[in-house]
Amino acid sequence: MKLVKLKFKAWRWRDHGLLLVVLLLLVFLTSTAYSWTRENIDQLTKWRNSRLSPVIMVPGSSATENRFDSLVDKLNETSPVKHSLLKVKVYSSGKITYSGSIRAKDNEPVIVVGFENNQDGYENIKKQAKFFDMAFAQLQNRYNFNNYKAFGHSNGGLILTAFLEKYASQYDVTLKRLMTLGTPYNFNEATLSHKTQMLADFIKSKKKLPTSLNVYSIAGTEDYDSDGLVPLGSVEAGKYIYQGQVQHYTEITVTGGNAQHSDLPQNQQIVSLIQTDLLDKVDTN
Amino acid sequence: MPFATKIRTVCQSVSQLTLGIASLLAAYQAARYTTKGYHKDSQMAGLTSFVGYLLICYRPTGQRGISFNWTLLGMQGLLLGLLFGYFVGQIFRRVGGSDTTIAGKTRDIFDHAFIALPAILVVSVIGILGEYLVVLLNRYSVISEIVTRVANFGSQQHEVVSTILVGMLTTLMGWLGMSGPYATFSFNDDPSAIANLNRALTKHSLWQIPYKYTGTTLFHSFGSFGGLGSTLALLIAILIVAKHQHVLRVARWSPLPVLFNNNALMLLGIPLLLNPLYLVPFMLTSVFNMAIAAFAIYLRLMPPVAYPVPLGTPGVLVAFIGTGGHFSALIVGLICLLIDVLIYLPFVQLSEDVVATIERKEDAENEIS
Repeated sequence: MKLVKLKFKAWRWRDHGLLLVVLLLLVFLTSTAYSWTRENIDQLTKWRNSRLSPVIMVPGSSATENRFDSLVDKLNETSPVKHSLLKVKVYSSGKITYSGSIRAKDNEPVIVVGFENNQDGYENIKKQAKFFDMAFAQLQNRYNFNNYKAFGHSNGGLILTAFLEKYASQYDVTLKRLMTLGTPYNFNEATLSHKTQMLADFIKSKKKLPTSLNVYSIAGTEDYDSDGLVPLGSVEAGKYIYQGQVQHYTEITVTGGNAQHSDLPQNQQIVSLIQTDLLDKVDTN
Repeated sequence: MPFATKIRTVCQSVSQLTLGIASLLAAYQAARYTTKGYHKDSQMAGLTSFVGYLLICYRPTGQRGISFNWTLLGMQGLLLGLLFGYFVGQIFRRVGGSDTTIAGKTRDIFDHAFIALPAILVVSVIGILGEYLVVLLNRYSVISEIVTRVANFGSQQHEVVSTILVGMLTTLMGWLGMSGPYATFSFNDDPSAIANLNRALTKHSLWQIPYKYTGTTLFHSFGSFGGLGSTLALLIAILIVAKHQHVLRVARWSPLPVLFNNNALMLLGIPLLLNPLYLVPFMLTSVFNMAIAAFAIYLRLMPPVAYPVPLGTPGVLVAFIGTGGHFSALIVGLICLLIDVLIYLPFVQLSEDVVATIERKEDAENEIS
């Protein structure tokens, strides 16, 4: 084949000038496009982050998914926005059932995850963390949230800690704040001289905890060193796991009426703490 | 903008009745020119083809008024329209159709009409059968199923090679006048694009998105500047070197629509559709751009496109906007465009030479006769 010879001879205003106009138009469009796309991305980010952000609650041992019914009632009594309540139960067979529902347009529903196996002990905590992971995967898939808050009463705090260290990193979801209530990080040991296997494991894997997290550990006390069931020293052992790893770790001790271990979730003081520290700030405008 | 809705209504009706019936017009013209080639009655053949194609596109609704299958009437049915027109032309050549090309007197018109009757009958029967076939295909949603399957297939490709292959297929089908896997492809229908956007928004960075080589990141950002086959590059090449007045005239009318990715004028005017002279650069530019983009992403010279881009964004700016204003993406886009122009230049010249040769030959024939 004969090679094609390019023939570019003279400058033609009609065609080459047209090209210049196109080029100028393109330059103009480029400059406007830049500001447009930056603004659009900002808006997308805001829109995305302001969406659904549930509070996931985990009850302690011997308790069921109904454990926080009265707590949610109390939260809704004084709160300007009503939180809907979804209760999830994970069976040891892996079956997951739901009761209650998330109201449309409710951006901060409460989801309680309970387990058929609600026994005490480290082995059970590990199993429950795995069950929680199964429920979490399903919830995330169903509701597609990208951030959430977590609340754990008693052993529920241990389940959440185990989940955070072992399973949470596989999700593209941020835990913004974690509140544990009377959680025995060192089981029934009052001092650190008896470090349980669980606490040792938690401390060993503490680097896996998200650094952007805010943690509140609340202890109740009937006397100076216990809430009647969990020693204060065991609750305070949480600092060896979280302190220095997460963004903020705050310890709060609640005394007075209803400060006994099992009464804690109904304690008015603690309901206020949940509202101010755990839940999202309500935009009153 | 004031009167926005009114202006849109007017524009919509105009585009619906021009581009919206492109295939119908193609059927008319194809039949006319086919019969003309055999020195037969082209007027009658064109009209018959026009009505016959309308029959195929007719959609019975059971209500008053008539309704048509607009997908088949518009640009997407172009190949079908052309083939139908050619087919009708062939029928007129074999079964009836008078020999003179244009009827002069009233008596001639009658003669033409009666001579054409058998051909009209055949075309009507074919048209009705075609209509019935389309209705049947729609009833069992065969066509929509195929379209969905093809589009899904396109959006499921996350590997460099398969994405480029699907991009090639789309370009080839565009050259044939059909709608390929990436042709009807919007950001919201592409699950990988949504996943990419989500990751980019949470991490505030484009470098860690999960699907780097998809239809959105490669084909829509680099593979179709100014429409399929990098038509913008062809336009530039034509404006630089072309001399042939017909081609230049089409090109002078095209900058605005092509800049905003509507290349219908060039497809039909140059023409690009089914034009073997331009098949090679049409495919090559698109493949080349996607390969360069994939390579640049792989070398981390630029991030992949993850942010949404407004409809009708000029092709060269898609990557710039879709990366949130990364200048590296703009530069890669401009380099791709430059190379595309260089690819097209020799083919524009070749096409000029071919057209000139044909014209010389025709002139010579005219002189002899």
